[in-house]
Amino acid sequence: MNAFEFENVSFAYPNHNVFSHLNLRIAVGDFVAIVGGNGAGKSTLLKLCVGALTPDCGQIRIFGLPVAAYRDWSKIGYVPQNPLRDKSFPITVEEIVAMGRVAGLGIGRRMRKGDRDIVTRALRLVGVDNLRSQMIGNLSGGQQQRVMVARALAAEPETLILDEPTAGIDAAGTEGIYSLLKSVNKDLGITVLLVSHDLERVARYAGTIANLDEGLNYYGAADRFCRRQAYARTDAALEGEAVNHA
Amino acid sequence: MLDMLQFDFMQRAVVAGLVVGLICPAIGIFIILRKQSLIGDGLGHIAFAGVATGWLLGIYPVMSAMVITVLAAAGIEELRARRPAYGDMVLAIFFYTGIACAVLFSSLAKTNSVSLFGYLFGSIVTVSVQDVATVGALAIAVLLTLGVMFKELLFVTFDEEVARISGLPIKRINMILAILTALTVSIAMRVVGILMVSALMVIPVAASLQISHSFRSTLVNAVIISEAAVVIGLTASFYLNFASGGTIVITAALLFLAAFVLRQVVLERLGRAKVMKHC
Repeated sequence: MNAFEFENVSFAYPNHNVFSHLNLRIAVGDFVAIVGGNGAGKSTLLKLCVGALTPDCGQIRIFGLPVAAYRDWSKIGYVPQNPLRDKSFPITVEEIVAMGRVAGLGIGRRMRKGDRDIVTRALRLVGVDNLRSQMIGNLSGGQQQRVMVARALAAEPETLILDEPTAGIDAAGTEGIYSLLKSVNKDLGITVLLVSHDLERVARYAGTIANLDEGLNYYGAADRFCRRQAYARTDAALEGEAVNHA
Repeated sequence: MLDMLQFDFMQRAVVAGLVVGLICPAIGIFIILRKQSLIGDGLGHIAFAGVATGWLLGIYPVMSAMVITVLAAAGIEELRARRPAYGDMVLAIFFYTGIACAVLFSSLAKTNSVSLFGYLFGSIVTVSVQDVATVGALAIAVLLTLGVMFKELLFVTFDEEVARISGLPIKRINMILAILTALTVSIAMRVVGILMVSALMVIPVAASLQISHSFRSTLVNAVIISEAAVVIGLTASFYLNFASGGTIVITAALLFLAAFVLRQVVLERLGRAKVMKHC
């Protein structure tokens, strides 16, 4: 079973072609990291996955259903890049994580004890339970990102999609986020799809890498991709040395 | 305080004032946090056109103002959703067209200056039983909708992108908020006047933001500050013979100043003391 399937998908912004006839299958339960240079289309790929953008041609299926027919959006947890736009927004960690339950509950329905228990579980899982009554603006970047992951987990998603989740976060915070995502993927069986520039950590934590460079030029095991990158770097270095000697 | 309640007009003013004091910050908190503080002001000027339409056609001005303000709010929201980058330009177009229609219609209707000033600046003497009934009915509609949609409005206000992706009907929710704002403007204009209509939507929330530590407490404190401004303002205007709308708004501004000073002097010093203790 595939969480996402791209079949001959093409997408272009005005004056900039991003993908032409892209084919991609992301299996349920996988931990996929999308890597590539700036403007390669990493965030665009995520936005196509969540229906925020529509392809020019081709078809995208989510759990076997075309995007237009897919209804269970609350089962896809999304963590955008720089999710906290206003640091002075008067809201606590618990109030944010509770938003994860909103779409699933439906309009007019109040949170019950079961929903509050799920919120508490999500807070505990990401390790911010002790910060639940803190204002979000008072937390560090790493803690804020954990809160956003907790909000996504509170929806009890089948897939977690994250756009550069460690941008602007220090090394310790970054390691913590990757380790959290790995345990979410391994222990809860949630499919993880993220965009990253951090090849070193991606190699350690992700199972699969999708490398975008004028289209999809690699899709497969993360360790193989990293070995390939290392060989390419060595070849380039040796070539450079040979030129210097000559 | 009790002396003034012996008068019928003051009883009506206090009831209408308390209702307005409850509704304005409850809607205002959402529009402030969405950085749309001036929408209340823009809709106030459109409400003025609605009042003038009522005078011209000989119908109840609060009702005509409500209809025209709701239609304008829906139009502004529709255009803002289509062209988000031009949201403030769209508001400005409606704002100036509203004030131009108001001037034209009120001159055609040959409105006397007492009625004009009552609506522009608010007047407790002119709040009728019909006004109180209308304000009450609209307020119940606003509060019920707010109660039903509260968690969705909070989600969309905090993070519209994620709310959309999680499947919430964003366009419908934004439209409902625009209509609630328009209804609130129609309710508030009889108490604080068209020119200060958004003051009770903005100032109590701004004051509450200085001293609150969660969304819920910001809302509760804003309502308390707003009700205090209404009660103190109405009492002062009765005993000192001041204009009610202006007195209420100045009281709210003074409460904001007190909250601001409290935050700067007391809360931030306490925060610093805590940091020093940890060092």
